[in-house]
Amino acid sequence: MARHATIEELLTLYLKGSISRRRFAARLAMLGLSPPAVATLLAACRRAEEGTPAPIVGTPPSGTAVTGATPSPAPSGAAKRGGTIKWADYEPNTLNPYIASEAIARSVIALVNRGLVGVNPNGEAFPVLVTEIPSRENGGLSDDGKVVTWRLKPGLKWSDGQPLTSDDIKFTWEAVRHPESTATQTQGFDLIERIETPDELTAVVYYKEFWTPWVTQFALGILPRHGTGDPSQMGSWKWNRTVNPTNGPFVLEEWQAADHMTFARNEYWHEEGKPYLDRILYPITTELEVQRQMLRTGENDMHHWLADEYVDEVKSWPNVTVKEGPSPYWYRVQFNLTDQGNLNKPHPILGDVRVRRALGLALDRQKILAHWKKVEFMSSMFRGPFACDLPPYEYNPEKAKTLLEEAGWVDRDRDGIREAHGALYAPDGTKLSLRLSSYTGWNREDEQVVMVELWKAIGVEAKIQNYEPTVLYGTWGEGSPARRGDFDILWWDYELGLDPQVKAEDFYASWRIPSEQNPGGFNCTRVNDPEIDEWLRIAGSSTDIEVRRDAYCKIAKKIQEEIVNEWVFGVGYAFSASSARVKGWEMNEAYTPFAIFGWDAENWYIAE
Amino acid sequence: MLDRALEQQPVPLAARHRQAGMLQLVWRDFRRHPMALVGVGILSVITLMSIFAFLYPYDPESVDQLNRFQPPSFQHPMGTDRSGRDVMARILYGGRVSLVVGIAAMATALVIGAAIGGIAGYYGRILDAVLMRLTDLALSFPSLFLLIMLSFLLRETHLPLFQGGIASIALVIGLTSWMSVARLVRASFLVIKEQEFITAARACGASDARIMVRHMLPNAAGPLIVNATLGVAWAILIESGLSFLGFGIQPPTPSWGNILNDAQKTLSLYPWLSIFPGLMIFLTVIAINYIGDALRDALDPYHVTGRR
Amino acid sequence: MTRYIVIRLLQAIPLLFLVSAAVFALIHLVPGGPMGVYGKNPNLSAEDLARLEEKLGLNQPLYVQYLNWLTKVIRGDFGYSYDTKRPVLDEIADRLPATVYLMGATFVFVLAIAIPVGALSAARQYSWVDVLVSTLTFAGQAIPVFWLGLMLILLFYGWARNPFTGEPLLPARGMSTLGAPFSIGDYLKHLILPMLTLGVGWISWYSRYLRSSMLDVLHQAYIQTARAKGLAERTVLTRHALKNAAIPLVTIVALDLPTIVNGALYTEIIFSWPGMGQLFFRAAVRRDYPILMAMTMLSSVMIILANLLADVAYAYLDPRVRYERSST
Repeated sequence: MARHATIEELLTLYLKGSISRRRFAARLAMLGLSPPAVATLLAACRRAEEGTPAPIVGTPPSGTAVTGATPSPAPSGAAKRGGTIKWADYEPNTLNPYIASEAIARSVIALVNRGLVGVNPNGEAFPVLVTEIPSRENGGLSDDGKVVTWRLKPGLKWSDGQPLTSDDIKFTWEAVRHPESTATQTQGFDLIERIETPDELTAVVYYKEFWTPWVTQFALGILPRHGTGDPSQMGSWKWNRTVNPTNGPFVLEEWQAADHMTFARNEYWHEEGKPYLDRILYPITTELEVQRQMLRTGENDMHHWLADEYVDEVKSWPNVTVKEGPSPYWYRVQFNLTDQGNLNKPHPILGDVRVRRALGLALDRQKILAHWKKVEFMSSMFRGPFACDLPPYEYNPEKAKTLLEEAGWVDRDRDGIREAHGALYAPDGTKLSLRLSSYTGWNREDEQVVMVELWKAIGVEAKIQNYEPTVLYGTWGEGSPARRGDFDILWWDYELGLDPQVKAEDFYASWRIPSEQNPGGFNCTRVNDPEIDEWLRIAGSSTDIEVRRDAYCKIAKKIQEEIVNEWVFGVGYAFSASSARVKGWEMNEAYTPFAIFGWDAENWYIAE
Repeated sequence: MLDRALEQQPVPLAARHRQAGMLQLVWRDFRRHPMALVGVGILSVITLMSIFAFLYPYDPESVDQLNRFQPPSFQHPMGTDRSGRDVMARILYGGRVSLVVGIAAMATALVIGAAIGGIAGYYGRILDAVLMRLTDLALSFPSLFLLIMLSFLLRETHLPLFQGGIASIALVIGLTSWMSVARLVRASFLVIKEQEFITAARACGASDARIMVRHMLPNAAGPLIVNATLGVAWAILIESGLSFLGFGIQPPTPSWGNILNDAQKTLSLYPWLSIFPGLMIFLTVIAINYIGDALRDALDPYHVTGRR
Repeated sequence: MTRYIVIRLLQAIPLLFLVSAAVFALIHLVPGGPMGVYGKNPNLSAEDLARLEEKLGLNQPLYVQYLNWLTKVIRGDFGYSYDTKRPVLDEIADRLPATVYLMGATFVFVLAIAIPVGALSAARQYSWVDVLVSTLTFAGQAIPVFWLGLMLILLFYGWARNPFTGEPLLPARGMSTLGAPFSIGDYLKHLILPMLTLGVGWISWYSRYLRSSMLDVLHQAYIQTARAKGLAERTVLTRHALKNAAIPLVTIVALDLPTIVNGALYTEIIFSWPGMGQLFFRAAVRRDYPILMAMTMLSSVMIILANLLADVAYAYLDPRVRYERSST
């Protein structure tokens, strides 16, 4: 596209058929914005129409533009400088923020590299390397939203003393969007047309079209132009292992593969007096049991993933502090609507919506998740400003049985499992027996065994058939059974992230149905509904929060009442622990990858 | 460590225990090993308990979320696990799985090994050279690598025979441990085929297959039985190891290895969950090893124990 | 002998090609693939996935991928790890010392215990020593190594305390205490639990082996002759019997040498030991094909070399074998 298209134009183009559905989808997939940001944006737009300039997008909750704000309230006078702590954990595979894909890598990267902004536990962006979040009010955002001006804090330096300039922002973009870069965190970068650097502190980002999550565009990190290398060789940069130079509160001193890492204070960190800690020692420890024991004996100060079973035990240790917060993972049961992924052929058993609803009604979610320490139940994937007013999912096995009878599933041979007798798609005599799949190695069986029992109680047989994570999450070409549609029922989780648009498309859009041409598509249950597609387009192309919420809630309602491709559960809580002497840390996991344990490492300190 | 089972030296067989009186001879040698008798006792108890597991009042997969992580008590002799399931029930049924895998794996190895080794030994020449190079090739793979890769490969095929990948794991272990059997059978056949009764059988017009299966294999049986017995123990250890890594029997189907894998997540909180399955593996393997050792004494005339 | 070694080495070359082809086919046949690691990554679009697949060459036919790999390997280039994006040889070079250190130390420890124990129980056959050793070795062979590791952690790290400092009696992670000044004592302390975990089964195996080969030797005529000549029993045992009984053990030890580079999977995982076993486990789970290929090739080479070494050592140590070989 030669000229920049606004969302409205894009939509018009698509509706007229001038651009392909795939291209449109790809563009829309990039659209999205943090819920609070959208709210402010919307308010601003309205007021702008009325002629009053107003703050826009990403302004911190206080409503005032904060300069040099810290991620969490700065510790009171108790905070003191000095000291070394230990953090025993797994080994990251890289320290390049745009290659890293695992939580542990993001966590360690938070120590050494920071982006222009961060995201706090409420899902709000706050400035890190920039003076303020760009807005129309402060002139940082153009009226059409396509030009974003980032203003760096003056005097920023890399850990080698070289100045950190707007050119490094430009370089980050050049490196990440390079087709050979092997970067895996690339969304939005190819929508940037150019970046201008009128002076060392100012980077003006010109988007080809409005991209709603622009505020987190450079949130993952900034790469230095000096000390890294050719973008086409990004995968093999030495820098990925040394992060020298870098801009985070700490620098990497040493990384002995599989053994340990050590971090020291970055003397060039821009906040006066921070970070408080002198050093962080990171003994790489592959056994959770040993990590915990080390916490108990004082050989470990930070414990990122505290297993649910251990929460009470660890809380009882006198020298340990435990904190909690929502995890980023949203769990649900998904029903395959198709037979082996064939869009023209309904699933022989699950093709009947009454069966799907009955299966859902039989699930007592309290019981299924009873072993989780803490859960937030959700009635749809839409939360925050987009939360919909939906009837709660009910647990009613009697109703489930009635539905199954209605649908022609009766247990005539009295073996405890129903068979088809006049069912919609299944030939008579077919057993009501289904595969229940998930990934191995992460205790998903704990929930599955309860589901199996609950379904057994209504005469449904479910057989657990799990796959390794790399198999289940693989691409079409790698033969992932989820993507190929070779499953009956899935039980798995997904990161909800900041903005619902991308995820909603992943779950419900017909153009996200995995196929050979779309090997990474995530609409594995094959929701293929023109109305939902339309609502997704409307939500994805609107900056009006009311319009978006309205569209999302129509989707949620239709999913819940008519499609029933999923039965929704909730988000579990994550627990972390530290030595009681380490203070100043907060949980911030809900909005990964922009927020993660370690996000406030400059505030960690030792209280004696 | 997993290479052990593959490294047993081929032992040629002399036809000492032949026909009548063989069982008595074997028994006479066998019973001189008191520990082997204890082993037989332990193994019988474990096997019977596994077979009659259904008499035990608890179901291994029935979940009771209100009674998670109960310590051992009169009601639950080995406590309950993370889903409130009775651990004793899981161990009884897990014993079935572990024993079945052990025996099936060894049977697979015996069939493959006897076929390859037998053909190589009987026909000799090019067939021998080719098959023995194949055996060398198989031995040149790091066995743990082969085990893990094959378990990935076969697990996802979801063989229909048993649930939880029992058949797959047995096949995987069998496919990685037939080499010693092949060498053993080949070595025996090389000796036996020169003997008069084989020439006689051939003269009577018996087919090659018949000669091999009916005449030669029984005469190679001694060392094979020993090898197979120890192989069962080995297969049980391998299964538990793979399941411990999460590559073996898939939960909720219990096996001693995956019960241990599960228990390890709460090792220091609920240590008994780890201790019982480990003990069961230990007892079974040690019992089989004692039996195998005594059998070697009784069946394998060339094996040296100093008791001659 | 040189000729024999050269021929054996030349024979190994086609074998290695076959192994590499078979391994390559096997790991690519296995379901799942390196892209599965990114499957949960919400920031990676389908386009990015396709681009990465192309960059790694994973969308090419298998034989093309194999030939690409082979031509590079012949030039000594084992490629880059998919996981860390570092050169495969760097990854291996980082892990090898830790594994060689652990396995080497364990070898010494095992032999230091297994040889005297095995010899003693053979010399005192049926004594209480023999019965005790035999019971212990049977037990040692029956303990699953990972279970032993966990139990040792529970016992010596979780439970037992140093009475003077109140710290856990023995450390349970890594090779040394991070942040503490270098001390040999610290390294040795870290070695104890992994070495025990690994060594128990090994000691049992070796000592049983030595016991039976020693019994074999003790019944040979020349031992009777030596005794008849009036040599001290001690001399007979060490000079004549042990020396000859050790020959078959040497070949067994030689055959076990590849474990020195393979590492110990379970022990390394349980004790966070930064060695090859862990690298292999990580690579297997993540389908890091270049690492898997390099490690299996290294391992196959070691197995072939070890077999050769075992044969050569056997021929060298046992005069009868040498005689037979030279006579044919």
